[in-house]
Amino acid sequence: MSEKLKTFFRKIRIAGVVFTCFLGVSLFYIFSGNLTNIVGRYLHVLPSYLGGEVAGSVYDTTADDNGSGILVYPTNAAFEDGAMDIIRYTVHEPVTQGKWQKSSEYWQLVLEYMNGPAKVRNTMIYIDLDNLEGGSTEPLFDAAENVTFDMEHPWDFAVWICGGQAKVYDSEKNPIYQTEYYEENGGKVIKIRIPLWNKNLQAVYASRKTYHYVITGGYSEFDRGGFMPIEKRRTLSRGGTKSSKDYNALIPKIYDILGDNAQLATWNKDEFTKAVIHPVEIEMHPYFESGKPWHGEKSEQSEQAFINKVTEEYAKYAPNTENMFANVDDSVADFKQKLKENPDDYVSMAYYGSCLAIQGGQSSVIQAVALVNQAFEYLDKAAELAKDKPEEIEVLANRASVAYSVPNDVFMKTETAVADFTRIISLYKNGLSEEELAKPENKSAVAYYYTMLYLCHQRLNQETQAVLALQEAKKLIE
Amino acid sequence: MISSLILCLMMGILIFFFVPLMSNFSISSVIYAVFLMYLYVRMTFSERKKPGSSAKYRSIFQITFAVGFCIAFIADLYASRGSMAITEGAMSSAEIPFCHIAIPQVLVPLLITKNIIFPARIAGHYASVASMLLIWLVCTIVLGRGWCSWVCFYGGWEEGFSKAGKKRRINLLPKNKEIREFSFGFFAFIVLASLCELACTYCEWFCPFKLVTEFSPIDSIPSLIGAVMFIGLFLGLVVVMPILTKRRTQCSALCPFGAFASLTDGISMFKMKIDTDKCKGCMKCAQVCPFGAIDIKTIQDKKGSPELTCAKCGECVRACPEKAISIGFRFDHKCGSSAQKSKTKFGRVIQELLEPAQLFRFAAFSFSVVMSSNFMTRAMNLIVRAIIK
Repeated sequence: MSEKLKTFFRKIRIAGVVFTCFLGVSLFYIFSGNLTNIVGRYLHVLPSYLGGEVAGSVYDTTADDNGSGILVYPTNAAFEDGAMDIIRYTVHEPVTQGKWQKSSEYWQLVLEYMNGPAKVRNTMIYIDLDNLEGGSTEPLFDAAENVTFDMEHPWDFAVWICGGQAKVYDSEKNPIYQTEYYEENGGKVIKIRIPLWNKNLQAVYASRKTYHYVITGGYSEFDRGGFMPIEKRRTLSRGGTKSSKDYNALIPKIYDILGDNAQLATWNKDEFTKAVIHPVEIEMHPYFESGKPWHGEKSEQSEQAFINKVTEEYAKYAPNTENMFANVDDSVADFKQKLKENPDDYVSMAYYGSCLAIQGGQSSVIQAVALVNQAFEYLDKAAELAKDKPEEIEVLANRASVAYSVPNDVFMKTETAVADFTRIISLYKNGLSEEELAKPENKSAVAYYYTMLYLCHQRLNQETQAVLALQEAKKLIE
Repeated sequence: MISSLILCLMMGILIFFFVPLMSNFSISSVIYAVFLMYLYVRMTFSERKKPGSSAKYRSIFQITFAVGFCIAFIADLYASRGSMAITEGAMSSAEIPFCHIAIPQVLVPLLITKNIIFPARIAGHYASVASMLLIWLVCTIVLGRGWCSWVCFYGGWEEGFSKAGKKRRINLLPKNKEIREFSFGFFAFIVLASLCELACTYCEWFCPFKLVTEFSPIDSIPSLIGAVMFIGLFLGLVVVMPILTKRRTQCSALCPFGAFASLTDGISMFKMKIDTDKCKGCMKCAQVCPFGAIDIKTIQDKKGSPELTCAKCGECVRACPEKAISIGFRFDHKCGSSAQKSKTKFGRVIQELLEPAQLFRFAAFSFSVVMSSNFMTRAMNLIVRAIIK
């Protein structure tokens, strides 16, 4: 290589080093959030640390925690809305040689509810393994929950979850042992890990299909099987029927079941038969057979198409703010003037905050951070002033949009966006009658806010909440 | 002079952006920014008077960061789970913070099983797997093993204790080679054991820093043995031995990340160089090297650079009376600046700005600023609150 060429390459290398040292390190940290997310997509923790590969996950309809449509919660404030509303049930593959775990061989089941706390509910999971003969079609405790089980699928094991613990029983109704029990998110998520020391339970390793009956009622320590009785009229510690005419002694003491709640109405008072419930089928080992992890089945393209559709629908009816945000410098000046004239004009304050954030997006990095921080000072103050006022939705929509748009790794505002979109949806739902809600402008707005909520939850890796928000949006638009 | 001012101005902007601006100008962030600025200004200007004198300020930073990091980290643990002990819930949800020491243990199993053998969050947290892997990758390219002496939030403990004793009681210089061989042997053992066990063996049994971060609850015989190991190793290798030897013994003998960083240092942009023509063989550099990277053989054989385990701390530059040691670009084979001095003032300023030592110090301190800002601001808040109470 000639001396000139060598000198040229040396200069190029030095230029690279200079750029890396003076700017590269800072740029890396500024964009590390995005880079981390990209790298994170290709990395997975060894499943045995996380409960094993997911065999199957079933979503349940939301807001169906009323039995077959006739039950109401006790009046005690501890029974928060949705505390007995099952929203998702996940069955994992059984784990062998799990490191750093309490049991090295275990089977994980995860139950997710709309709300906590866990202490108010009594949950039973009855499991039928396809490779075990026999089983029972009667509940674990006689006359406890007032149901019988599908004759095709008698249960082999029952997991009784209440009072901050879980126990596993065989179909002879003998306790086998206590399982690992974890509560997360204030009781919204219950994670059960069944140790697989028992020989019969080890049959799950070879099961091709498992059948799960998941039922939840109110918890009462002194009643049969822990199931809180249902009375004609609800009291502080007893659930009831919506109308005393609905009451019958055969009503299952179950507020929610995984699957169709209509099966809870199959009791017959003339023949004096209890409701028959059917299980949810979970195929085991799909990962090993298809070679693809379960979570690889997401159809991202169809989701994107749906989001575009919702955004278009919303844009048809939403107020046109294009001009305001297109000439952002003029808008900033306008709103500044308005705030000068009336410092408590919270609507202008919210738009001023949004405009500042947009200005930030068009500025250098240092200016951007300063402007976005300033924007949030205005947006937060506006939200505070607008609370319970007619313009609250408009103000919160501004803050939520900005909170979603700014990078979460730098500003940590996605949680704020979640809270604001949730509040906006509840304001729509509580403030409008059903007829008004059915109008296309309101329907498209609520669907849009649900979609935004979905995107926020996705960003925070809150998969269940994201799916639920998208489901709600789809209910409105499709 | 002008070049130093320019560098300080650039660092000032960087500190302003990453410290007070990111923390919305909280008082603690402003105080910390002033402290960082003071260190960098002293570092840059003292280096003009005596090469290598910046090592003192690096040392002050690393000790402060290590203590601040542990305070903020332990406070985080107490806030989220109420104790320093790892709860079963955190373990079952894979929410154990991931640190750089686990990186060499997870890489080989990652290549084979395509999974991370550590129960940590993958992304979305400051101590997630993806963020630590990226930081390691960028740091390796820029600083190489310089991570250990500039950025490592554990290294400051040993740095502090190694400066605590006035006199060296045990001289490890004749054992340098054996210690290096042991560290690479131990590293190989840890990597193999982690692969066989599909769990991080060093984190489970050997990491002494569990004493100042988090540990498994002591509720069984194996966990008791583990506790005895980590307490013993902390007291032995992080406290007592550094005081007696004035060396970073855990870093140079046991830390698998240190050994791994030594092996991957070849891809970094900078390298310590010894001018064999200037070197008189006084061995002062070898005496002060905290990582045992220079020994008699290095000097006798005129290798021209320290051994693999050099962490670019700059102590040898400070100790050398002949100014024979300097930091240079890895792709330049000559020692010191090969270019002729520019005739114009502007040219000289640019030449000074592009000095490898200046560039390295700027990059290393930038890393230190961004890595420490969040922890140190929170730690200072906690200390102030504790004092007020």
